Amino acid sequence: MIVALLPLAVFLSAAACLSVELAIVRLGAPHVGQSLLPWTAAIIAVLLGLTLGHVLGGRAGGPQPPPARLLWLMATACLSASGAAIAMPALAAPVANALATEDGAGIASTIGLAALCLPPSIAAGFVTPLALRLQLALRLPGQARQVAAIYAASAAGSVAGTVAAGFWLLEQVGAAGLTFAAAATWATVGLALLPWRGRPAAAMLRAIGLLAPGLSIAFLGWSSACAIESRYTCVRYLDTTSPQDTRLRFMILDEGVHSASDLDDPRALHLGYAALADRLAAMAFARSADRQAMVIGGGGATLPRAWANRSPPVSVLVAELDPVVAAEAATAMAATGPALHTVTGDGRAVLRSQPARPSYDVVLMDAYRTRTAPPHLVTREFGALVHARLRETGVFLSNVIDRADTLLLARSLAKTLALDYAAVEIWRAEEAGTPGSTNVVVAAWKSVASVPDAGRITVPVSIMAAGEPPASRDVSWRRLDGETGLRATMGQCAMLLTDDRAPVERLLAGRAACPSRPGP
Amino acid sequence: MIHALLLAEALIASCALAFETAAARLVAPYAGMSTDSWTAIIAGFLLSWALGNQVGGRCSAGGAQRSLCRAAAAVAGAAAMVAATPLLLPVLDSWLVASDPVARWRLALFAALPTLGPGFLFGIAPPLVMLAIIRHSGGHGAFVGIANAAGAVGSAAGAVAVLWLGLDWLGTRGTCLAIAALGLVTAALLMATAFRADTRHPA
Repeated sequence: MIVALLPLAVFLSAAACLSVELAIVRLGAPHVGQSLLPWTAAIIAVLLGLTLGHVLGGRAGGPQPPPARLLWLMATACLSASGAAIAMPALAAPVANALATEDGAGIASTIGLAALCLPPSIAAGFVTPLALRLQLALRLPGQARQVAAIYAASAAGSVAGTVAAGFWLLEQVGAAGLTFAAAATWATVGLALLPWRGRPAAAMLRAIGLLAPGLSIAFLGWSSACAIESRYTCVRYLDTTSPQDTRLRFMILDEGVHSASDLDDPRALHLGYAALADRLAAMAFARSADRQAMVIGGGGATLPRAWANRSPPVSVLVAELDPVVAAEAATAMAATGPALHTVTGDGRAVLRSQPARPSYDVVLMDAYRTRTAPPHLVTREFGALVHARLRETGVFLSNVIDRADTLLLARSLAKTLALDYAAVEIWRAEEAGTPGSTNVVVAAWKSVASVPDAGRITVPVSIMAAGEPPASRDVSWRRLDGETGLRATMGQCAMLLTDDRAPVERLLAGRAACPSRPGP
Repeated sequence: MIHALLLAEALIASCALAFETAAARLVAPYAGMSTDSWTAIIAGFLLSWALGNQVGGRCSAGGAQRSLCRAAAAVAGAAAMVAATPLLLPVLDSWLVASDPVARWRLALFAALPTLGPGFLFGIAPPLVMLAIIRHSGGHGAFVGIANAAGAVGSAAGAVAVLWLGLDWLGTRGTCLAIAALGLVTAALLMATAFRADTRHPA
């Protein structure tokens, strides 16, 4: 009986472990986002925990313990994993806040958050070696098949945990709910393995002792920061009043502001990059009778809404990966209308689904997660897909969140697009010369004749300092020199971005992918 | 010998998770980077890995040397399939995705298919290596735990190496070739271990 149940216990524990790995990234997302760093930290923490658990699980109980002792240890490991996991949601915010630094990188917070899944992973790491040792201790025939069954159960459990979390639990119960589900799974396995018949009092005491601390922390400290959670992100809103006395709503995805929509004036654009993109797009729209635009990465759909409400209106196709965000844009950010059409899917896939003929005046790439553009949306091949669907007077705009001191990603994107587009410009706000991140707009024109004459464009924006209401201000955007000039002043080289190699995170970290050359 | 087996266990896990991680970037130009594609990759790879585990456990008959030779052959086959994956994708795209690039089932199938072969072949080896470790350690619990730990460490190293070094420096195709090369080294290590194995005992 117990031999048959061992693969099930390993299966459930592996599923719970994968769920905790996904959950910790999402629990930390409102604080540190979901870039490569939090994902790597979570993977390392879980696998490091499992490693320690495996080593300890191989030694626990001595060299040749009796089967009953091994079962007792397995139950203890599962209950410990449960108790540690239950406390994670309540501890995430305090840990992230306590370790937050001024630099905004959040490395200490990221490590601290990832460390929260170390205790349950260590405990869960005991399960597989204890199951294997239990099989060996029982000295049953068919040892090879039993070992294979444990391995297969572990892999299948990982699949089950990933699929259940990604497709179902995250949207239904959120990251905290997912963690509680993992904890409940471990608790169920642990309680089932405890020797209730032989020593019921000891079993009860063991269960209470291991679960009570985690439960206490969970009940005392947990609250969700999200208005709604999707399978991709935590959605929050911030409502305020604009300098023009209209209702202004910010959509915050994970840790960053993605959109600012004026609920009373669909044409109003309060963010600088959006206002600049609107000006550049207007030049392309002005040369077209049948105005069409495509926006990849809708978010709150502020710009698509503004374009769809132009006079005459622009027909806008929005590609948004997250169906929940797309629905929120329509309901909470008022992005609806007859000229606005949203397709749920990856931006590149949606673009490929459109006929490969020149039909758009503007294509805007505005897809982001935690200030990181998806690599497959900044490559030469992607630019060629856009090029094939852009009218002769059209423009391909990319909103790039980049390091202000190097602009390596924006410059690399401009260098890449220059291979296929007649003219490529980098637009940057004039005051954005300080270290940190900044929005840059890369504009790739299909025809030189369409390029604007102006080297500077000034747009009105709403600036919001911490704790203060938005204030109106003019921001000037300047067209930057070509790559040669930028390399001379910034000292690092841009690179060509291809589907094979597009190291976006590396460029955003300010590390060139080719030898640096000092400026003059 | 047991150290070589533990190293092999770690290297197999490293190759497996490195390929799984690289696969997400490989399929992105065709299938995007969505929960659907990620889940399809993980599910496809791990389910075929689990099937490989089962098959590996069943082909342990015939002695330690033969078992480890089978493990080596499986890892070498997986390495060859990893190397071929970037060449396979454009063909698969034209068959499956190009006609309807937003159909979810097509994208999920496209993301999962390239992982099945390498996942299955890589999955055959670990139970065979574990059985060899159990035999050589006399079933000592500590070695069972260390073998599991070697797999976990290898997985972490594979994922981190691909995310922070491989994709940045070598690109996706270069990363696949590097994983394939590591797989071939692992296969050679298993073969060398097989010929040193005591053929009188079953694995």
